[in-house]
Amino acid sequence: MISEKIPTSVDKFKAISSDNISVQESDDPGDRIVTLNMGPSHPATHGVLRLVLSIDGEVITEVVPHIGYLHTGMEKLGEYMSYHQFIPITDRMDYLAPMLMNLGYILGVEKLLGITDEIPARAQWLRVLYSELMRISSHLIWLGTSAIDLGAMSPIFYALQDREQIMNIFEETCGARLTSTYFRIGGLREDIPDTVIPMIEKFLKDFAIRLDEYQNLVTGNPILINRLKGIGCLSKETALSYCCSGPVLRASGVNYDVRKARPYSGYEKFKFNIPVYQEGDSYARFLVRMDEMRESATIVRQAIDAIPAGPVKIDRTDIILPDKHRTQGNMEELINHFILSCRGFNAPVGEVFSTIESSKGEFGVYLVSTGGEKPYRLRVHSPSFLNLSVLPAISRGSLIADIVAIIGSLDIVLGEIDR
Amino acid sequence: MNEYLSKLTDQFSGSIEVLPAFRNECSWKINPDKFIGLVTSLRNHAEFPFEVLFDVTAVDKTPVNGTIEVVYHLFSHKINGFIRLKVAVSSETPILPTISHIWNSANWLEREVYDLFGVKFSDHPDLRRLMMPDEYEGFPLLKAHPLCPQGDCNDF
Repeated sequence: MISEKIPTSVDKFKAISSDNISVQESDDPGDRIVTLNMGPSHPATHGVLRLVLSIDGEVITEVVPHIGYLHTGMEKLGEYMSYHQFIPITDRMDYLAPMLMNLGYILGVEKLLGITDEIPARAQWLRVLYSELMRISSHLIWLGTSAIDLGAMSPIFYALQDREQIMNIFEETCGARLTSTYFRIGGLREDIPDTVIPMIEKFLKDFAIRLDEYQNLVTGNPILINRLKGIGCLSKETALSYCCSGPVLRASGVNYDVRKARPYSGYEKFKFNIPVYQEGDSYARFLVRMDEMRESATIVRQAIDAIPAGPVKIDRTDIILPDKHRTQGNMEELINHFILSCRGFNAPVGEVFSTIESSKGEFGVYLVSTGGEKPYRLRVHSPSFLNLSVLPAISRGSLIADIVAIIGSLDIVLGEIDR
Repeated sequence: MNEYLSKLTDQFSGSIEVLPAFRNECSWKINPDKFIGLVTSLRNHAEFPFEVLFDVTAVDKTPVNGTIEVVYHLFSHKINGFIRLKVAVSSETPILPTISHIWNSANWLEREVYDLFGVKFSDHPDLRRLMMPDEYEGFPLLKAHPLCPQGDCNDF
């Protein structure tokens, strides 16, 4: 005896829906569009980014990014703070590369004060050294998180191990792992301890092996190549028109890096290459960052091999706090210490625009001073902001799973976008 | 870099006012009615095309002279340098024509200026608030806007 077929839930649904709802295939494409909300708290959006996707089946027809969830009014705050007081705020912009944010802001203030050429060689050299360590650290986080977005769990464990070594170097240097505030207007807070150089040596030795492992584990992985190649293509003209910068621009065939184009902080003394790829897809952006880590490691190598001797602070106690023993033994420096601590220095009247190559792209500050100890206007130009603005243009027509890969390849940090 | 910029300054001397250079930076002041014509010719310049609109921001000078100064930074790869254009609009009716049809980056940058300064860009394709909530009243980066929220924090 054959038993009667047990109705499944699908059959039940069909039975109900055929009575109440008439489902018809529409020929009008507008009827098939479904709006899908992604974020703001979504692990693949790298922060609090909200995307409103219009999808036709699995294909994306429109993307509308909504930002501002991390807006903290840093530009407004800057108008109420002295120049020194604002340095810790810059740490909170791109929290994956705080030292680069410090450097971008500090170079702007130094240009405003006209002391760019007076910064001691040792301070400039150490700024380069720590900037490149920071760049490696930021790219490692990008490598791990973007691999997780693509479904690869293991790279982030390797990446975080390497980053941990860099964080330990920062902790040994200035006591802070993340919000370092190590660079100061006019130099560095203090000289590096002797224990730091062996740590960097060890890191470079381990990292050289790790880079080859990443090459085998991630870069040459056929699944990763299939997920990234030909996805989110960005042409050279579009990249320039959207003012993309950093690895996103260099993956689209534009050989432009501020470190080479307009060297700052002594970058002209170092030998390194600028990786450029012509394809403009997500895989090209991936390769640019992987190559950049290798180049940054060579800069760090050159930097620790020949650190110049000398002071790490400019000899102007009206700009930077002098060492403790000088403050306690000299009346004028005690006065300067007092003024700097409670009011800050007076900047000349004028306005400057200064940019650096951060790990995300070209980061700039625009300072307007009307004299006095606070800026009249402090504008922060964020590279991630413009790199994100290109997202709707390059993700139209791709699949929902691809948009996660594209966001990962753009490497955005929402703290810097929203400021 | 400077000889290129002085060449450009000579070429456009009729429509601009050259501001005194500070720290070797080139700034031009432009009338709002000549603005679109000038940026179009800079973008399509035969010798030094400014391919990149790097930054759009504003400075609220209402307490000084009753204007909001919109500041544009253009970048040319050929010159390898920036040029700063300043356009002053009155604080009562801050309106400027959009340049988002010339550079795509102007789309979000102008939205940000609208959001934080209240400067309206006519013919902008999508002039909505960007950072602040849609229902927010006021423009935070104006000098008249207080730093700390006034009143009950639950209403803010």
